[in-house]
Amino acid sequence: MTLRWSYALNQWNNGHDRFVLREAHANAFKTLAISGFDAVEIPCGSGRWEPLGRKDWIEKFYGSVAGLRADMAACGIKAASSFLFNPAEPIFEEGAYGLSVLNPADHGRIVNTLRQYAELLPALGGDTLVVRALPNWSEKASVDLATMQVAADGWNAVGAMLAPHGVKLALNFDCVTMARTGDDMALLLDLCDPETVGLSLDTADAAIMGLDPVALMGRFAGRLVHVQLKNALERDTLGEYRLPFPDKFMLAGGGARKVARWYGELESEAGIVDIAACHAALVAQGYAGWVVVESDQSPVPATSAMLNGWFVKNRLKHAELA
Amino acid sequence: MSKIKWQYADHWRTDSPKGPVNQFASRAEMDRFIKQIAAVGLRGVGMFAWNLGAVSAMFGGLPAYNAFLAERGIEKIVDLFWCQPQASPGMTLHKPEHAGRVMGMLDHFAGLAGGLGVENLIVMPAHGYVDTQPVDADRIKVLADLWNAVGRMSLEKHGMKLGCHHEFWCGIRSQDEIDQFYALTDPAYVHLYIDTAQHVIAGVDPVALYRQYAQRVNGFHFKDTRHVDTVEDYRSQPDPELCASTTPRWFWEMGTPGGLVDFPALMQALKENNYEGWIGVEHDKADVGGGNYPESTALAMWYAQNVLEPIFYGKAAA
Repeated sequence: MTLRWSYALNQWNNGHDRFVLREAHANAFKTLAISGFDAVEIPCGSGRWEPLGRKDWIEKFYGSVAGLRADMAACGIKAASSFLFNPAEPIFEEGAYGLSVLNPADHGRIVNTLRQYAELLPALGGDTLVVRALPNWSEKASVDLATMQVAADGWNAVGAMLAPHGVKLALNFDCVTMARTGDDMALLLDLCDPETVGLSLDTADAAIMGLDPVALMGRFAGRLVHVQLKNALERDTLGEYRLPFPDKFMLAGGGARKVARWYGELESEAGIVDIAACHAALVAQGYAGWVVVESDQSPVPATSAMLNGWFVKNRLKHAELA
Repeated sequence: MSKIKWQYADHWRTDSPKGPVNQFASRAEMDRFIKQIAAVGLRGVGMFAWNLGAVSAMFGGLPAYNAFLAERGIEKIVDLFWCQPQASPGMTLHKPEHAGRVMGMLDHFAGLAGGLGVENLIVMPAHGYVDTQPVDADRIKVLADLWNAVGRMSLEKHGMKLGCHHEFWCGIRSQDEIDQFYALTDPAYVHLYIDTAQHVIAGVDPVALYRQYAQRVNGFHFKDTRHVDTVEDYRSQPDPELCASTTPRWFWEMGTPGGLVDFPALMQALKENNYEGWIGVEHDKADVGGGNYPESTALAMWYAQNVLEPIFYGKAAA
């Protein structure tokens, strides 16, 4: 069985007003299509600068969800494989300025805001909702059984809501989250319903945390439903995930070492992820979910898409056929 | 097997921590460039003749560069391009006494690429218009004589067809000047290399031009423009492609909104004339105003494969 490939649009969405116009969307779709990809992952979003991020904005910008799908298809993109949701991001339309799955009072609001993706994903040919599983690391919260049970209750409710629509929930642990080890991830995953809630593994973020993504693939093979395949250029050797606003001060600002870019293309010479080994592991274990190629922090998104397209076509897909 | 193949014509520049760099900066930059163009379906490269030395030094010889290309999905160098935009005391194209120097220089460059299967030697057949004027019948005759001789040398000694590429600011730019030039040149040795945007800017219809000279055409640069030069911007100094009074950016990728080149009509004309061979994709100054070469190239190849190839091959075959 060959893998299902997709590509994350977030590398184009690298500024609050950088990826708004329909022409910009079409250019990204065409660039991906000619580079060999026919599905995209879309970041959820809110407000006038995120017209792909919510159902209501898609309807305003494209007339209807079907209108967006038709425009995607005209460019050669067959599906939106997945949407990516972070509860901590503002949701202006709902007056939410930072929901947390660790707050039981927010669970109902999270379920309700995610209902739209249960409809959106099948309408756009996709089937996976990826969520940031836990908030940033904090001195005030720890990965213990009681805390993870709260999070699991929230995500189980979301998973149960999505399942009748054929949509899987995938919990993603990025490099600045409070979960720092495979055991941390396992603690939460083991409390979630395996029928409706699985793992989304980001190979680069795992490597930045000092984890081995291939080992994680093996350990969680039975729960792995979504992969973000990308390279990393540096490890977080100073533990800067503890910084306040680590997405800004560590990932964007580079931290104390002034790291210019944490993420790279699949074949990056300085990459610390063995992409070929990750790919081989997925093939070997018969992985059936989406493989979403990402290049966060791309200085030239088209270059990233073209280089990643070349590598997937000429190296990884060749290996699949060998 | 495809009757047409797409090649990329050299212009490339991307941002780096050192500022803009092109593919000739290092093997790593060349690797990124070649993989990007191969990823979107290009199968050949065109090169400025004066870059052969750098590439040879980078790879320890041009055969090694050809092997590097093949490993990444690019067949070969298809064209060499040469021009001399300004006349100089040492080399003035329309001075018959300088013909030997021109011949010697192009013989040298073509010789460097010997054995690589390069198909065409492309030249701008005059200096810029201001440096060529007065552009009259006598001057065009001198230039025709020069290129007849160079074309014969290029084909018979190096196996490369000479193609003349008429920039909108070239000394031979109008329909009348082009017609005079091709009437005086030998069809066996001097070919027309059509740059779609350059002709449109100069007020020449590239589709009609192709239909008129189809049997003499040895290749194309496919790029688009949103402007026609109606105010003699071709006289702008020092570089009409940069200093024009009417637009900061002349050239755009195929499929650009507001593009003036009728590519579907041109593709239909190629089909009717049973064209076989390479089509060049070129992006000159794609980064003016915030664009970038990689995205322009991806969008152009999307257009080539999704709009133009179905016209050429028929929709069922596409």
